Amino acid sequence: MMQRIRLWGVGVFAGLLALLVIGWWLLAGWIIERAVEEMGTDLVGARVDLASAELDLFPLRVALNGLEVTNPDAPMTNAVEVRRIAAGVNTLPLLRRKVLIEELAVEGVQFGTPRERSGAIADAVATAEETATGEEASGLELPSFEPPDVDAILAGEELESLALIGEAQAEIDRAMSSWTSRLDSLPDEKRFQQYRERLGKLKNASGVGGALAAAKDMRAIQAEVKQDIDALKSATGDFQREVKAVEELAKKAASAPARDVQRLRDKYGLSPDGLANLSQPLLGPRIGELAKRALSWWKRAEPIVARIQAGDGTGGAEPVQPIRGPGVTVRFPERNPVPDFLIRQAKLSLELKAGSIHGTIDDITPDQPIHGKPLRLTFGADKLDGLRTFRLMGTVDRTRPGQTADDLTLHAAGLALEAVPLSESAQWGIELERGSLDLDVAAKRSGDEISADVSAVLESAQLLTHFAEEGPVPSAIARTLQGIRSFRLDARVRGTLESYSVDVSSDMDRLLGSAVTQLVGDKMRELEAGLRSGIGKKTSGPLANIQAGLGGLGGIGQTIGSRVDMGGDVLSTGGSGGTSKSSPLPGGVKLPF
Amino acid sequence: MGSLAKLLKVLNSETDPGQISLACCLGLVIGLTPLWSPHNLLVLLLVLMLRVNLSAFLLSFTLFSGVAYLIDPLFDWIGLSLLTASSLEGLWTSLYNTTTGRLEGFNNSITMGSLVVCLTLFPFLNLLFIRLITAYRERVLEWIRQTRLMKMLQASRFYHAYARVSDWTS
Repeated sequence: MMQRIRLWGVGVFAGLLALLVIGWWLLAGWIIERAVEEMGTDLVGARVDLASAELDLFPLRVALNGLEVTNPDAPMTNAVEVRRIAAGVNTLPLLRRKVLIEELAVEGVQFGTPRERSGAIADAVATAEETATGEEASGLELPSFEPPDVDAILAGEELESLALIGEAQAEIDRAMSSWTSRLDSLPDEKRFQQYRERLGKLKNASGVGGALAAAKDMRAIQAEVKQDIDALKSATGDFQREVKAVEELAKKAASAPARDVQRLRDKYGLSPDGLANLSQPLLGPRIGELAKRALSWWKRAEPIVARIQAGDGTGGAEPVQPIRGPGVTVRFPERNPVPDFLIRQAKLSLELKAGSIHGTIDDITPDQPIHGKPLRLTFGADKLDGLRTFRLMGTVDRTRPGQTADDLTLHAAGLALEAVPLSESAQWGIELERGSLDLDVAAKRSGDEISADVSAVLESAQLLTHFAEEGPVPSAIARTLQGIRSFRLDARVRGTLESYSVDVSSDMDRLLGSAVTQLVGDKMRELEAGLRSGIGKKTSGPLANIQAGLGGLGGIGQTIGSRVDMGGDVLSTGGSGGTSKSSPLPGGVKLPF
Repeated sequence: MGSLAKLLKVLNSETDPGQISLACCLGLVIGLTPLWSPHNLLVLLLVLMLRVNLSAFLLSFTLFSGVAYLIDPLFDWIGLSLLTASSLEGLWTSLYNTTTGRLEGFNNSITMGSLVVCLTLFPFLNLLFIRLITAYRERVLEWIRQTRLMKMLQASRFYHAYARVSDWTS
């Protein structure tokens, strides 16, 4: 047996194993450091640096020192800087590829610290530029308070009145042409004269036979006259209907200039009613930008609480990084399912200018459906320097696969603010020089739907304005803003993660509105008079033509009416021009019926 | 060329065919299965502990590592078929719930496929290699030794010097 075994081989194996363990232990810090930096950079989209990492084997503990996470939107600033993160890792679950951390201590968390070198990565530059462009495009701007040039407006606008006048004129022209040609086909004076002459000849008939034949002819002529009169009456009906329609069009065309004046005034002018919510264009973009930034960070952090690939531990295949070629790792049901990664509690100490805020985050895992508990966070502090009260609470619930139910509430009271830009618009810059803020935020996410209600009350405020536009109205707004010492602001965010709206209202709207209403009203009256005059010049001539056209149509109506009268006259007088309605027979013979 | 020379040297040596064959089969396992799998520690222990030919092992390991890249899709298919076979679900579930099973990472299709192929082929290949080596030594090597050229070479001083040095190194 011993001939088949090399004892020195066992020694070599043990030596190799020991070398492997010692080598790994010596390099573990460097390996962890590289892993954290690479994974963090991928997650954040900007450089993540780690000063050092320590690993203790007995008991197994990991410590990360000097973690710096670059703000992707400001590469020379750290979004978060952490002095030390220390965690004890359960060893036995690790053999089953489960990372279970009972307690994680995060000390010295700071926000917005400066960086010595840029933390931008090549891939993220283009994204940041795209984001900036998107924000600029979506930003609201206040309309100009100076009325625009009327000639320039009229040159660039298509007037509804001119279109309607043109339509009415075309209809009148068509009716004139049509009825002029139809008049030629209708019985006219000449035709009625011919009836008279024929009837006159019949009156000269002699004898009973002649009289009877004449009577027959007379009845035939009378039938013809009646037929002609009917045609004329029918034409009269058609004509009246057509004229009525044309008159309606002409009436619309006549009132169109006034509507154009109203429309253009509303479009290019700023009505006093429009000033009822000045805080929306003034402060809405800034709040929208903050909401966008918050959502952007939320999306970056989402893989921490939810796997992109559903891993509910109930079986099924999921693609993994292949060892050599393409391969899949199949998961089977676990008898006592535990998450692949779990931090039961993270204790954080945030270092702000005002002092330290302590908090905990419980149950951090990307496998909430297995763990069965949502992530909960609680932070709080009292009586800090420049912050009376701070409370932050939240839940991130992904315990039911495919369903999202997150909520976050924030209450901060007595937060001292200095030099905070409220509007970074180049045209309407507003800065809070100093003030004390009471802030309440309640945000929720359910699936893709998000909602947030922000309520802010600012006391002892001092606002500075940097308006590019000059004039009485901007000056009035600037004076009003500079005079405001306290105000309340409410913002509502509603929509989906990809598309949401931000509605802002504030009690400063009332003050701003009353300050500019009179000034804006005068400007708008000036604009309205200019528009009325300009549109009047363009439409007065065509409108006069329409009236003339209607007059021409009236003449056609009269002609048709006179022809009907002529026919009636022929029937009533039997061609003699009298007024008797009887039908006398030729020779004065009277029939007994 | 160097590898071929090594192979010939091993084959032509007095080493037991069983030692060479076992070395080749262990090289097959460590070469075809993912290198950093825990079972390969056991293979390494066996290679060092048992009196197998180390040159043959290293040669076999190198050769089969190259082959592994080519037949990974086959391992993937075999592994996934086994892992998703409903009749074996109970077995895999039990194994999945053991520390050894999780540590081994058997639930990866390539690990499973390559390991099953290696373990299935191991006994057959071991016997085959022994027969091939024996046949080589009895027929091919004997025929070469009987050639005039070889006899002339063996009679030379150079060959004696080589044989002495070769004995020292082995």
